[in-house]
Amino acid sequence: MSGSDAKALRLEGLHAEVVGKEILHGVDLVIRPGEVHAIMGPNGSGKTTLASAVMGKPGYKVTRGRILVDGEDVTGLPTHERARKGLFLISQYPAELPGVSFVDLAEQVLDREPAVVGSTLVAEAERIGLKPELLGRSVNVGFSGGEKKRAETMQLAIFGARYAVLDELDSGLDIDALRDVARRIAEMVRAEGIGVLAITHYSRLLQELKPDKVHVFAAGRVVRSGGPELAVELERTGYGEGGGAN
Amino acid sequence: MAFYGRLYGGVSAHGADASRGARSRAASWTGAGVERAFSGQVPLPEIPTIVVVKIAPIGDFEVAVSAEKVMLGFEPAQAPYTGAGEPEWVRERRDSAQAQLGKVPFPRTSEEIWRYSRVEELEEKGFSLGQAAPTLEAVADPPAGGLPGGLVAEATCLIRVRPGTSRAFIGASSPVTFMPASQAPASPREIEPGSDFFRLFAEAYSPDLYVLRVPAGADGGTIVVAYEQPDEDVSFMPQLMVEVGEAARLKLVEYLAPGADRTFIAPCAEIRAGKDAHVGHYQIQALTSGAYASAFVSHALGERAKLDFGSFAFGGHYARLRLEAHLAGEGARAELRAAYFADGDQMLDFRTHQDHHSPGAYSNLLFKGAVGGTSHSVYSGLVTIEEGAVRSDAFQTNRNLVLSDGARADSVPNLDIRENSVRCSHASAVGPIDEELLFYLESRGIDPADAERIVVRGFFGEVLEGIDLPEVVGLVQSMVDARLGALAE
Repeated sequence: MSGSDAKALRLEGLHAEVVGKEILHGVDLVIRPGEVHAIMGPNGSGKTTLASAVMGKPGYKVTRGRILVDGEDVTGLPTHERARKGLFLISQYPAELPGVSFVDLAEQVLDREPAVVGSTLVAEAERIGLKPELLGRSVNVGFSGGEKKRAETMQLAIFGARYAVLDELDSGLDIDALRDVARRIAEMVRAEGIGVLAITHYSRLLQELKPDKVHVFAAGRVVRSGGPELAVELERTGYGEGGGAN
Repeated sequence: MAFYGRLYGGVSAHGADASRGARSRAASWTGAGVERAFSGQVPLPEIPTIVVVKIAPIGDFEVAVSAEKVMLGFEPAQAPYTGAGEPEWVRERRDSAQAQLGKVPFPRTSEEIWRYSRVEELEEKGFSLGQAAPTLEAVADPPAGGLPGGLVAEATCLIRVRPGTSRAFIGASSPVTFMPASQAPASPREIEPGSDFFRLFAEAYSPDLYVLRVPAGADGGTIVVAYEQPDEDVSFMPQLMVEVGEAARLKLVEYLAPGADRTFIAPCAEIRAGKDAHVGHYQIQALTSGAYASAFVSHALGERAKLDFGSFAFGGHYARLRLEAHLAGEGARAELRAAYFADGDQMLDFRTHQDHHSPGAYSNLLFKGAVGGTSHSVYSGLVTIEEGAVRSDAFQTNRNLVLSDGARADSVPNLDIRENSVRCSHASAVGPIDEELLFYLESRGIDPADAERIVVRGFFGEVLEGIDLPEVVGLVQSMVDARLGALAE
């Protein structure tokens, strides 16, 4: 099971820069199918840069190291091809798409008959607690924080992702919505074996989305790794020399 | 907002309570500069003098004939249409317009309202003026051939207007009347004499004047009027005067058909909506890439009348729309929208005026455009709130996507507020497609070209929301898609 060919999202010595400044200084992570890894760290430690670099967002340049999806090097691939290899990103602040409905988006992504797409969307919306009438509306436009994250989670569930990167899934939504999306993702991990990289600085998300591993992130690298108990400890003691847990 | 890169003009004074006298600097809409230049009145000769464009007349004569000179280079032996046999009201209208034309010179790009325009090219090219007296042929079936299917499908009445002739299919149970002005015994009340050059010119000299009426209380259905100019080098200035009676309903779709490539079309539509009337008015501009156009649309809304206006402009080498919405009656409401998409070396030009002079009226303008290639668009809009127009709500938004390095969009919103307790805002934006939106779509596995197409389609989608003519909406969407397809090649 070892070696870079094994099924996993694998970051190897990842260095990345933003406008010429190196933010990630060598990140190594291996997330296998069915595993949940939490990245915890203070603001400014490079967590969002990590998520963006993995998805190939313009402006985030990988200078050294590799990103592998199930053994395949995707480091040089454009974003849409990474997505087709199974990567999926839920951003902290999901974009709003005026004039593009979820139905339009899903028809484009799924390439299936409209009736099938429609029933798939409605079923998943009901499951995640998103009002089905929102499906015909512009993606995320005028949505509450909770509605946005429910809608993103709905897409994660139906677009066939294998590895999900969740950038502060817990920001901007209430307790009920957080519980619902975290439980739905935990189900996907169990039932479909997706791998999850959950970036957060609160442990609340992790009470529902039970992590297998917790990594402490500081100054652009993983400084400490452990089991779920590490999240509990961090909640109590803060991030130590890297700064408080704010 | 972070959505678009560059911002022009006075951006978003949203929901601000504007106080009396708070006015942003408006462009010279009144043509004050024009009046200064012609302070010494020069009478027009009785019979318009015939001049060829390139001839430079001298002295007083130059001023006197400036209006005709324009035009567009009449052939030396050709006299402008004089409307023999027209009823008195048309004759008076022509006389009045001719008198005004003496004070309004041919447009120059040095005037703010013609800035960036290609109006001077018109003069160089020279188009002759139509001469044929208009005739109307009533037909039993919709004369549909060659028109987009969506238009035909929506039409309860379908009228095709060519220089000198029109063919009208009026549905059997339709309450509307449509006729050349020569057959209209009474004058439709004119909205407001304007100083727009081409409108005045059409009033003075164009043969093609038609009157459309919907009686009080009637539902006029959907009237499609297609303007077609099959002849090169001839100008075509069809005028449509529309009266929608009290509590009547009308959906009017004007279609500027592709027609001849080397042509100049200046359609004028004046629509008067009575008390409690509901009007939908949509103008689809599908001219060929060599055509010139200067459209004039004026709406006068009575008490509680409702207007939904849309301009959808895609064609022409240079195509202009001047839109005036006069909110004359208390509680009148106007939604004003436009979607325009230029490519190649096109120039699309929009000038709007939301004119509030009664209490409690509402107007909301949303114009959205995209420019590709080396094309250029201009939006310049003015909101005026006159004294007495308390409780006015007036909003004005113009957003532009710049899809290539060589393309350009200018956006100039203006407010002129002379009353308290009103709600007004204006906002404008010019910039490239938001990278965040493209990244979002690409992160769902959509390739970059499709992502761009989806974003642009969505951008225009907002303009099309709520239009109650699905076939027209579909036609406009297909025109957007065709443009996007052309850009991708």
